Amino acid sequence: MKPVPLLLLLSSFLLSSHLHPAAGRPRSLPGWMDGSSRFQTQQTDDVLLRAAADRAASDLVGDNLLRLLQRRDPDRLHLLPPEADAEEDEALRTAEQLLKRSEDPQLSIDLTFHLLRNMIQMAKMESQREQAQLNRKVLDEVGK
Amino acid sequence: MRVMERTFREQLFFLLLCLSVLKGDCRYIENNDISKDELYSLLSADLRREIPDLLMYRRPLRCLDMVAMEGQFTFTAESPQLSCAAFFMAEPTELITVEYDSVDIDCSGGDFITMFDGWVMKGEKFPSSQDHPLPLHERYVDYCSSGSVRKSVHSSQNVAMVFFRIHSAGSSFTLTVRKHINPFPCNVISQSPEGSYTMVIPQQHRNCSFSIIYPVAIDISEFSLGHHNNFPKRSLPGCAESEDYVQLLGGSGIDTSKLLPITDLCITFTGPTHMKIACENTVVRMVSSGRFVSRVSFSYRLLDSQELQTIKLNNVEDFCFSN
Repeated sequence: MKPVPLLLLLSSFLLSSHLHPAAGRPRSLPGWMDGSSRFQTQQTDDVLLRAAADRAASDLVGDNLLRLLQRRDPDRLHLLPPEADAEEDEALRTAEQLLKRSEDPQLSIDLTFHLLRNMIQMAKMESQREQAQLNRKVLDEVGK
Repeated sequence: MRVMERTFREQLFFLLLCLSVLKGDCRYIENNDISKDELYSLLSADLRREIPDLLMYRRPLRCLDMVAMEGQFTFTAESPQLSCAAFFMAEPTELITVEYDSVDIDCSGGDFITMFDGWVMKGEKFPSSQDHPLPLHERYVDYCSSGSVRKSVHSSQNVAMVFFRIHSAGSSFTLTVRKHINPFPCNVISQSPEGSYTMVIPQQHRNCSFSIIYPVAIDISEFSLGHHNNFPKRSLPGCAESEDYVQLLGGSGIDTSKLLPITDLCITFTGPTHMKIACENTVVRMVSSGRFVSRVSFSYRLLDSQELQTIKLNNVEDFCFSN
């Protein structure tokens, strides 16, 4: 009976060095990306930026609440230390910057359908012309 | 003796389990469904089938351009070019990959190259945000913020575009355009004003649009939403209670969510539907709950000027000329 656990331990130890590298590959990355760590950091940055934008939005809500309180009960709010006010202003400024940054570039082009159709027509003609040339080249190669 | 035998057998099974774990076989258990990533890995496998360099089509890219073929397109600024856009287009059953090569632009000086997954015109997008699998901010991919990481950008349909701005003369970049087969085409812009198409949504909860940017006569020849028999045959105004339906839309923009509904088809289909739609853009849009395999077949042709004139004179169908 003694050799069995020993065998078990030994084989496990030996086989652990044969672990296939693909077994530990992360599955979250799309296959067409080369899985570089820079992409991961960019993803993290995106998540952080989004989280920051959320925080910014909540800061804005906080600010609105503050204004509401100020209108309702101005005396009580004066009890707040002046540092808190400055902090709040700073937070608001950061929030505004972050919200501006999180806006997408709404790139667009003013093009009429008439122009777009002409462009499609020209692109198709170019494509056909090139296909014809390619066919000729291939036929020339075959003919040699 | 029997007890010993059992213990031995247990140990053997344990050894077997250890072996399979160490071999990493269990990853197959997690990997039993077709995920998006695998679909893209198929594409990247396809990418390896490179066009021979001799046969690669090459030409300069213009500031306003339309590219309908594979090849290498190089933009070189001879003077500051501040608002340029190039459209890419493939067959309905193809996807587009655009690769950045030898990019020499000044990102810090305000230059940019931004890809868009779809087309944008006058602030309107195709596919509309409701019909696209990605959120809007992910459809714009900026080279300057992700250039060194994302060397290529894949489209989700047969159209894509790139916006670029270059401040200094002499700056340049090259885009390599490749096309791939799309096994499940959903959103499509037709390249031509005539043709026929069958749109299929295989039990997926999504909406697909086929856009024809011409005034056309359209024939819907076949239509199946998978619930002909068990659906109560009473008329529902505008398919309001149905989760699976086909819409015919028309209008003068490319965003399908801003087009006017011409007709909805959802209950029973009695014979072919023929319609003349004198709009700048005509769209067949299918909404699917994902419970059935939905399918619609149609053919279309360009309206001639006489037909357009007749429709213009007709008071009933002139809503596309109101703008």
